[in-house]
Amino acid sequence: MADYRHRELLCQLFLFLCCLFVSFEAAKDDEFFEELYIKPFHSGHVSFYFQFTTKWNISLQDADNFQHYRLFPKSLGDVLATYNVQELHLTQTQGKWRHQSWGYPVEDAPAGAQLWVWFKPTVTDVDKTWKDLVNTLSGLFCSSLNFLDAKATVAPRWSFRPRGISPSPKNYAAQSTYVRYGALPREIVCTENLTPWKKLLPCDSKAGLSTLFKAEKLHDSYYHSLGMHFRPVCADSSCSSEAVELTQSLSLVVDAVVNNNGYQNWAMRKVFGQSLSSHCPLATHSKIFVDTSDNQDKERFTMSPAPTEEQSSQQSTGVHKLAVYDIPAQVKERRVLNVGANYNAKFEYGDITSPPVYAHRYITGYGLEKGGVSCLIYNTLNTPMPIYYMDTLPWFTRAFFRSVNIDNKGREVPYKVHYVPGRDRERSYHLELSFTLAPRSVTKVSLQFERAFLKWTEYPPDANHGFYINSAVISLLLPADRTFAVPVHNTSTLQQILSDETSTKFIRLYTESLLVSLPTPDFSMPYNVICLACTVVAIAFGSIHNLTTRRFILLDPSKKKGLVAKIKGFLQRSKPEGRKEESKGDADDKAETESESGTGENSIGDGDLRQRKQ
Amino acid sequence: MGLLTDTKQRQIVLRMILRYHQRLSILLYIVGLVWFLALAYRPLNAGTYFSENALLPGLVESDLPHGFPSLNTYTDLLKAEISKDKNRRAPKEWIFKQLQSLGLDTYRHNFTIKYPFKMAISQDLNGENIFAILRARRGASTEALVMSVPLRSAAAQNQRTSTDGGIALMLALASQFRKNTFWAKDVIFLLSEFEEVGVQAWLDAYHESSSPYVIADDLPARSGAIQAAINLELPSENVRYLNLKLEGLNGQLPNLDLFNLAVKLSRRESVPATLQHRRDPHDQESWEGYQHTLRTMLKMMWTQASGAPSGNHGLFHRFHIEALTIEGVHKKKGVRNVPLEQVARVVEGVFRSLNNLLERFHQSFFFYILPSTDRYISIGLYMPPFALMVVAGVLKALALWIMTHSDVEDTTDEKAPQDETEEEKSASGEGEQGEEKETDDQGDGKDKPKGDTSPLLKRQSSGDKSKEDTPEEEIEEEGEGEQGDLPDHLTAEDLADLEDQDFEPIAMTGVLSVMPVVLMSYLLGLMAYTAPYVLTNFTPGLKMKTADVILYGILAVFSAGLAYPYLMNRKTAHEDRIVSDWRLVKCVGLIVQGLTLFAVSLMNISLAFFMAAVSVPVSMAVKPTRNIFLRTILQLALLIVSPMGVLFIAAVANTTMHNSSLGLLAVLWQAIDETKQLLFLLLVDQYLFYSWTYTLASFAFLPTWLLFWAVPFCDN
Repeated sequence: MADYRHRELLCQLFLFLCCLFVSFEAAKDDEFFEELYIKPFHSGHVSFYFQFTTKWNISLQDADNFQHYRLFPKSLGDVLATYNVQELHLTQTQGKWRHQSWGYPVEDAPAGAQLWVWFKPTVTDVDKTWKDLVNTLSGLFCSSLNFLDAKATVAPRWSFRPRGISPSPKNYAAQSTYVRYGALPREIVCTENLTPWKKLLPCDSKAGLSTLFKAEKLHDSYYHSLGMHFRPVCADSSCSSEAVELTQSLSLVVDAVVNNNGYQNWAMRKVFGQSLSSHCPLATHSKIFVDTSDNQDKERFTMSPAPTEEQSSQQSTGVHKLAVYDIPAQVKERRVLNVGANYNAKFEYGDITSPPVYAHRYITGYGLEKGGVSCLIYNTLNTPMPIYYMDTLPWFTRAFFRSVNIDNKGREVPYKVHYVPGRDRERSYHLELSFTLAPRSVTKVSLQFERAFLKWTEYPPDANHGFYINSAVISLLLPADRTFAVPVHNTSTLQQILSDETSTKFIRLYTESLLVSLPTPDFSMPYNVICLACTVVAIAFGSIHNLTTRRFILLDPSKKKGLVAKIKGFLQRSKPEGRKEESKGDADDKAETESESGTGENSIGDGDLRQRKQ
Repeated sequence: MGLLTDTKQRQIVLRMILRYHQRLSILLYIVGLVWFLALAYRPLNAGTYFSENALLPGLVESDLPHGFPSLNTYTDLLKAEISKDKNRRAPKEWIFKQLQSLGLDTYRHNFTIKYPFKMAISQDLNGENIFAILRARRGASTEALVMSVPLRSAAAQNQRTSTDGGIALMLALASQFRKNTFWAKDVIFLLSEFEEVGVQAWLDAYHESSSPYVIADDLPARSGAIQAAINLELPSENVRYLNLKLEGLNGQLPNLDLFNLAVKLSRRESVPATLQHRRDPHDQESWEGYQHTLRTMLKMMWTQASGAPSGNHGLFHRFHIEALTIEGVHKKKGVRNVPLEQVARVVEGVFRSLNNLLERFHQSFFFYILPSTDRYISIGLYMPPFALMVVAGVLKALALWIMTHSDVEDTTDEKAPQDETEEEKSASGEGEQGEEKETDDQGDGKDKPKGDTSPLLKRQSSGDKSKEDTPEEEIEEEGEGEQGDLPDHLTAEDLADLEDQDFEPIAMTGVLSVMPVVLMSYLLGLMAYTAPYVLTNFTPGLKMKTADVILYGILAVFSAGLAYPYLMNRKTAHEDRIVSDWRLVKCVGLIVQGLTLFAVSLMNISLAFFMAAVSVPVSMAVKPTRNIFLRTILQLALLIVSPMGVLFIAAVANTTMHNSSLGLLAVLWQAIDETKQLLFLLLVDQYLFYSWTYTLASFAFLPTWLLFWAVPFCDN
């Protein structure tokens, strides 16, 4: 009996273990990584790049997969499944990434909000789906993405290709049918965007790196960008099965020198207002990477605390050094982790080596009739560099295609073009150019536009502030360089990105967004105009109308009046209110003046006229 | 509306114009002038106020530390650097290093000045601006503010104030601004060489608009749309007061809010702010106070009228950037000087307020005149008196037009006596209505054959004329319309003269008869416009100074202008002779003058006012006469109000303003030199900065004046 019971218990235990194992296996389907990449710049700034990666081993093509969630955020997953999204990239940014002094970021983003989405080939009405999607997303992220209507959206042909694996048909990625791009330069990131973004993280901001996100500190930086990138990737290196990847990134650039009496010292406590005291327990790994390539022999700064390990990889461009902190281990060891660097000498500002390719875009001309946009693209490499340049102008800056000019040292550069002219109040101007930057030179892309005069209801409340023009987008393949690390198709986590040794990497640069002023009426003027116009009409219209619509008929004074009429005339003189009926009665038997327009004013006029004759 | 429909009323108006136009136009002119000048009187103008509430001036406490030690450090460092240099120039290299070491994006900007005239000396002049951009934390470089300081060499400092204090203050503020977290707009620190030229080059490069004479290299970096600019001209010592300079190119002014902001903040820091180096009087309502504000106003208008920028800020206006210059004035005597630290707080406050701006300056006024720092005369206040002055001429033109198309009078002659009383009652009111009617009359008059003026009316009108010629003559001589004595012997002769002329038949009819004269005068205007360019092509060969060549060249063109009525009156076959009715010529001239003055007044009221004040009375008075004496006086008056004459008067005024102790002859002698300089500067401004003044003078004022010049030569 006891044996039986014992066996039963064993059986139960086995079953339980089986269940546990199965569920554990199922859990293996998704993974979460939290990472931070810190890089001091030669300009005295320090960049903090947080990346939270969720990888889920399911096929995107099967919508049923988006039923059971573990680490992947359900609110987002539902949206992606509902609108048949293949790939989605959303960034919300404050400030401008200064390529010239900071080099390239891991994920570049234009000032304001930007969204680009690839839809699945099954979507029939892409425009409608896009419209629904942006409305949903604007609710999800507390951002005015719903302003990305047809006027602000384009279908880029070359500049925005899928970042992940593409579904069949074969030429899916080469078509612009399924892609939509929109940007709102004015939609600057704020606290209300951070909260919903944080909620998508498995640990929210309860544990791990995300506990550092305190809005007032984040927004006190030179550059602050929230990103969310969703794409399908290969589950393994052989690419036998699909997976989806959600990357949430937060990029921050602070000026360390100004805050530290001339030293480029930085510490997490100083930058974020607190230290790290936990890691997200759901994360597969929680790591901090500090770029110490400039500190080969520790002669410039010392890290505190000492890193868990130091990686150094010999690459073609030099030694790439990283100090790595394993957060769980560090936290366990000393309860709080406050990674920081102390510099030995005061920071000295000097000339900074520019990155291989960078751009500067600006408005040209003055006055409110015409204008232009010019973009200087610098190539500091010794090799020619083929690039794609995409510029979108809103409809109210009416661009002239004939004015598009690409100039390099006075010579015109041949280019391939994709141009969609704008339409007033319907569609923006979309220009994509493909050309080659000559080695060590500056190429200037310029075009002219005419400023439209808006309808008076189309002006925003702050009409005189100006109107924003989207950043231009420059896409190119750069030879790899140790100065930058960007994700490629098969890297997901920062760990992979930083140790990736692909020889050429795809870079997308965003230039400055621009502010143009349009001819703006004086909005207090309509009141004055209305007053003036009404006065003029009141004075001129009455008399002119009277004159032009009245018919004058001669009255014979010699003709005898009847007795009745005489009496009536007498009565009328004494009783002015009876005049109206009487004049009507008179018109029957006598040829009096008559008016064709039956207004009251005119009938009184008749009376007057007749009175004068009498 | 009765005027449109009732022919009877129209006749009344026409007759009224004919009868009273002399008196009325003189009255209008005098009332206009007096009214305009009276605007400086406190009860007649308005107090300044902030229209743009986003500026929030002085709302925040200054962030500058007590004593502002970095300002003193920079001042001392700069002094040490300057003393190292032989030419005592501001050390550009050092400034560049300082700005860079503050962590600002610092750049150089090179430019080349090509002299517009083929001058033998210094063909190309190379200059270098330095600018640094403080990138705002709370923005993506879409908007910017500019703080500029001119770099001046010791030689230039002899004539103008030193700007060392400005440089030190800029550096100190840059280091302070760098620490502040609230910047939403980039701040551009600009140090420009060669005064306005450097700024012009930089602005041209910034907006990528090219100029043939100031050739600017491409800018290596930019910020966004510039919202406002403050130019600092501060000496390194303590200052007695801050002088605010507003007048920009072509008489453009910055938004009044910007001026108010500077005044308010300097008042808060108890630094006296002045306009035209004149403080506000204590009691503006007193007679002394009025005189003081009037002089301030006229001085401001005088500066504005030239169309030349009064400082480096003046060139920003062309690009719709509100800008003004804060000039610190140091006085050796007295102890009431304020330290630069206080000025730094003013500038800091101005920039913080500008940083608050949500929109471009668009509220408040762009067209105004200032009698003191806290009062303003807006366009709504100064236009009516100005209009009265100009309408005086237009009214006269209307009367002349009616006279030459006098069929109107024939029909109304009989009724004239009975309507007289009514007319007199409403004389003043009708005068203005008559002006509106002008266009109608032209339309009517063209088709109708011109009849002879009826004797009755003519006698009347000529009688009127003889009576009224008296004040007119004074105006010619006095130029200001003040009452004075009249040479008695004139009246009789004049009367006789007029009688003659009125009864003589008019040789040619229609506006077309005037066209040769008009064309000729505009041709001469074109000549005057192109003359400097053409003439200076010969300069190297002649081995003359360019300024001389231009003066003599333009005098030659002007003399040709003076001679053209003689040329046109050359005796040819009698029937082909170009004969113009003087009344028509004068009428067209007055209308063109009115149009020109109104058009100019919308851009540069000061220029229009001064031109109207001098030219309207003379142009109203001018007429052909056989009386040699009268004719000489007329021609002399005309010569004085000619563009060249006005330029000379301006030169005399400038000379006396600068050194008042000179004798009359010395003043005149110096004024000739000054005229040369003025003319040269006008042209340089035109070529380098796109100033319109010379263009206006040659295409608007000169041709109009030439029309009047032709009048005394016409047959009468």
